[in-house]
Amino acid sequence: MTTASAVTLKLDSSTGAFQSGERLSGHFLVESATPWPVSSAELSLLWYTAGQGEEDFAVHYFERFVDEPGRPLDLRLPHRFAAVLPPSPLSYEGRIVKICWCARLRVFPQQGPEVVQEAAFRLGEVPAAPGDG
Amino acid sequence: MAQRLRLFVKKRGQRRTGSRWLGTLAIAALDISLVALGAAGLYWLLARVLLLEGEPQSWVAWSALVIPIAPIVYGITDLAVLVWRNLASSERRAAVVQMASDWELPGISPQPDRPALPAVPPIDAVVDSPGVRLSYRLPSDAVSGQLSLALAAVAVIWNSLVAGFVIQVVRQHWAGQPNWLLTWLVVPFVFAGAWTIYALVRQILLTSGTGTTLLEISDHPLHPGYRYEAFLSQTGRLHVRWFQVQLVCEEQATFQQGTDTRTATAVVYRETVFSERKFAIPPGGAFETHISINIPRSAMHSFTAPHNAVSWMLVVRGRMARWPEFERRFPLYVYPAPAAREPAAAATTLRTVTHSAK
Repeated sequence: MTTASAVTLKLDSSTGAFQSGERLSGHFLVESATPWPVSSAELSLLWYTAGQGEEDFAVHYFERFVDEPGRPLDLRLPHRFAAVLPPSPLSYEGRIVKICWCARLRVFPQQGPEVVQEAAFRLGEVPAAPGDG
Repeated sequence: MAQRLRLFVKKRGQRRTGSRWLGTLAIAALDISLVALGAAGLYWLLARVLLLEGEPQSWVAWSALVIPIAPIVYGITDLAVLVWRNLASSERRAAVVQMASDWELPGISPQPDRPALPAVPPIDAVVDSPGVRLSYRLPSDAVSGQLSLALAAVAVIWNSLVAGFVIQVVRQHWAGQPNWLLTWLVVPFVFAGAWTIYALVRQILLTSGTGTTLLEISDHPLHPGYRYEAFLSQTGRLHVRWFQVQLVCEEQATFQQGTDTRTATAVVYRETVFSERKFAIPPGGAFETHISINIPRSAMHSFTAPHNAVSWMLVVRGRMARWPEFERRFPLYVYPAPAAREPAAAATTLRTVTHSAK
């Protein structure tokens, strides 16, 4: 049975650091000898907040892959994605507000719970906010 | 580890203390009940009242249809939202909302000369107000005005209620039938009412007595690593003990705790850009000065989201003779440093593609 560990989501950049307007690209695939029956898969590039407040998030890029009769979705083949990154919000590690960017893959198998994989990256180069005192 | 259901603890944020599916089922059951109740009421109203033979009804009677239709509409809408929420992932829902918000409504076109960046507050509040000495006049945040209004509302409502009791007590004493229990119970309420009036008068005097603070700035929006000029004018017949202008960056995080909505703040940058001690502002005159503001190269840009924000502002603080300390805030908007690449290339539109694998 295919598990989350068999799902690979990789960015082409080795540093994981990007600037506004830069093109981010990557691919995802499932490493399995046998086909894994999935109903759909969703790839998003998104930012979300962490810290003391409730989570806010927004999707910058979204692509949905659907399994159709006669055209099965085979995730063993690498699926490439690419997007130009927006000017904001930049990644930020504040004292009570943090802004994180990631590529998120959500796979909906025909049986069993959904599988989520994330690849974090930084947008911009804003340094962390100084700590208390 | 299984979570224990805690009934009497204030739950922090959106996390659940019970089963997700149990909550969903309960909402679905409530929605279905509302629809069923509305349908039954609608049937009864039509069959037993409005469509009875030989009894034509007025429009007032027909308008009663709103009562059963409202729970039907509410139930169906909430059920549809619930189904959509459970069938679609949070990213897919966000993508749909994003696409919908990107639609341009007829007659509302974005102004091409004003930058619009995702999750960065618009600069309209500043650039719509031109300055006299410099390009833009900074609007003051309305906290002191809102505080005066809130205090006035509390004072009026509280004292109106207390006045009713006081009149009753005075009448009883006048008639020679005093109710001493009521009399002593009213006393703390009268003191509280007097305090609301004192606080209101103090706030009004503080707002009006410390004069008008005017701040103008040479450019907007601001960018990290750039220097800007500001002009400050403070009026009022005042003997100033100390007076400061600070450049401040503050984080704000809003969260739910039980039924309360709380906002935490943290100042992550504070620089005094102007400071002066012991000077006087003559009657009819104004203290005026030019200030230089340097936005640090490493500064985070202004950020706004429903529950989180990073805000930049100029804070004017001071202490006048015979007055308590005062503080006025003037929001600034710091935008990310202009990208080396063409901005049009960076402003990616959301692409939602549904396709099958080849």
